[in-house]
Amino acid sequence: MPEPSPPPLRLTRSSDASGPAYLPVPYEPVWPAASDGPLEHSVRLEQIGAIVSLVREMSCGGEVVTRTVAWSAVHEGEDRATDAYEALGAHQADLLYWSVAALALGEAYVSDVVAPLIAKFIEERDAERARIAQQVEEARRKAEAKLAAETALGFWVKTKKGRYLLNLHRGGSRTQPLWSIAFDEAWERDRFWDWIGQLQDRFAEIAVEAQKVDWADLERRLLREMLVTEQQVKKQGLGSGGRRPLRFWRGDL
Amino acid sequence: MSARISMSQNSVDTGGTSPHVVIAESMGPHPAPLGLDAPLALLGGGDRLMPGGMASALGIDHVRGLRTFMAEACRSQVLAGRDWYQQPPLALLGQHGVGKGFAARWIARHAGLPLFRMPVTYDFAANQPDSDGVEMRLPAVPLIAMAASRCANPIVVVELDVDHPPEGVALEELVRMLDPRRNERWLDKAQDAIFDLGHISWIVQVHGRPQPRGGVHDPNASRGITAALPPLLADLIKDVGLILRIGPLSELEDMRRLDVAVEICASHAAADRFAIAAVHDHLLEIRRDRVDHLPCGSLVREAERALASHRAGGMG
Repeated sequence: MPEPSPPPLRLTRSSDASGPAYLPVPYEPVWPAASDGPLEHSVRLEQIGAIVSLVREMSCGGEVVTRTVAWSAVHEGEDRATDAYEALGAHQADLLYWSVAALALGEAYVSDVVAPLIAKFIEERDAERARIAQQVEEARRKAEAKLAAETALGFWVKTKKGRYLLNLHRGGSRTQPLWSIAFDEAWERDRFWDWIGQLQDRFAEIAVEAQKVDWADLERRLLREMLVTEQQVKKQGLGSGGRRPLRFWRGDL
Repeated sequence: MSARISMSQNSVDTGGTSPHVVIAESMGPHPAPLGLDAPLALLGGGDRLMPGGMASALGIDHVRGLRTFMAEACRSQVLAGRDWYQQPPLALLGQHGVGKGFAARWIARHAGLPLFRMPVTYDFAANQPDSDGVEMRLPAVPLIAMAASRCANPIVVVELDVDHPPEGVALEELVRMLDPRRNERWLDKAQDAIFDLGHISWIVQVHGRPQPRGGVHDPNASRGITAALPPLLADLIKDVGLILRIGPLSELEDMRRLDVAVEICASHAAADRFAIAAVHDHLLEIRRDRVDHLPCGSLVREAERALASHRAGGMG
């Protein structure tokens, strides 16, 4: 009687980088019943925390019959592992080959193959993210500028029926004025602008006030404030004299 | 872990503890020929049939669908309590050199079964009585195969001639031989005996003829033929087995070369990663034809050469 053939050897993943390990399998999986469904073979990527693995599976009716971790790599962190998972996930057609190569040639072979792919993926992904971030920033700046333009408060000059107006608008001169003051002479209007034009941080307050109080009352109050300022500037010897004493005033007292 | 490289130089099961079966029953005064009325071994059982056995072995991933077919065969045998390998009829179709023979040999080696080839052409006649009692007819190839190997369940590769496929009575005869619903009592009139061919794993192999390339156009020259099964045989295998068309897929070419490296190293008892890597590297260097695939036989020869070279280098 001839010698019996040697028992088949199992190739298992080894932590020893010096060579493949032929280790006894700790358990023998059993066949599921035929009624559980047809058998299916698959090769897929798995990520658990910082570890990305390439797994060969035989399953039946959703239950795993055999499972072989063909290759796995521990990454510096979960984010890096996710990068690797996504990078390798883009190479579905190669997973079968890599799984066999890892088992037959060693995990280092596959690690060497996939490392540049992961690096390239990260580089391209980062470049894409930077491009998108730049686009978002550009869009944000445009939106901000548009919003600012739409919400900015400012005075616009206008003449109407021989009178010289100074209108407070939000979002441009085509909008409804929030408040308006009228003068008989252009220089009067300019005199008032010499003062109010230096108080831009008060435009919002004026706009709010204009909603609450009578426009004439607000006019009187602001003109009074202007005159007080003119007197203070004159006392300091900084007035420019003439019809427009605050012509060269720049808001400082 | 269950994927594995099954390594042995001569992996045919010895049948020491295998079940046995009598496959012949004489119809006349003489015993069945070739000693076939003595029990024959049913080989390929044991761990091979388990999920971690040949169903998980490496070296065949480039043939899509074959692993699952084989796993289903193993499951079926185990669940039925049959401790030997047997698969439903399998047809492998494809151009010359895509790896049909490689796949058949892979199954045989991993199942631990002897493999025999049975060329079948238009004049196939496996069951004709002797005409005058003077000129004797040899038993059919499957009977000789079982007698030679003393194995009741060998793998028999039916090689169909794509230019002259069997038709009519010859085709019916072939179908009757392969049909698992009828072949348990296969009557051989010449041998005057009934044989049980139901344990044989049949693999029908058909390869197309490539279209001739280059040269002066000759309208009378033979044209390329796509591998196809005769309809009657195709119907049978569709009903009870599997038809696999193996194409020269460029996306699986690397996989094919790695499978060849794994299988050649394993079958030569050299399933270490350094030997496989040396063979694999050599196979990857072989030029890829944009039009035709590299014949699998050439890859196997190159792999054997590379392995020999690797061994010689290692010994030196």
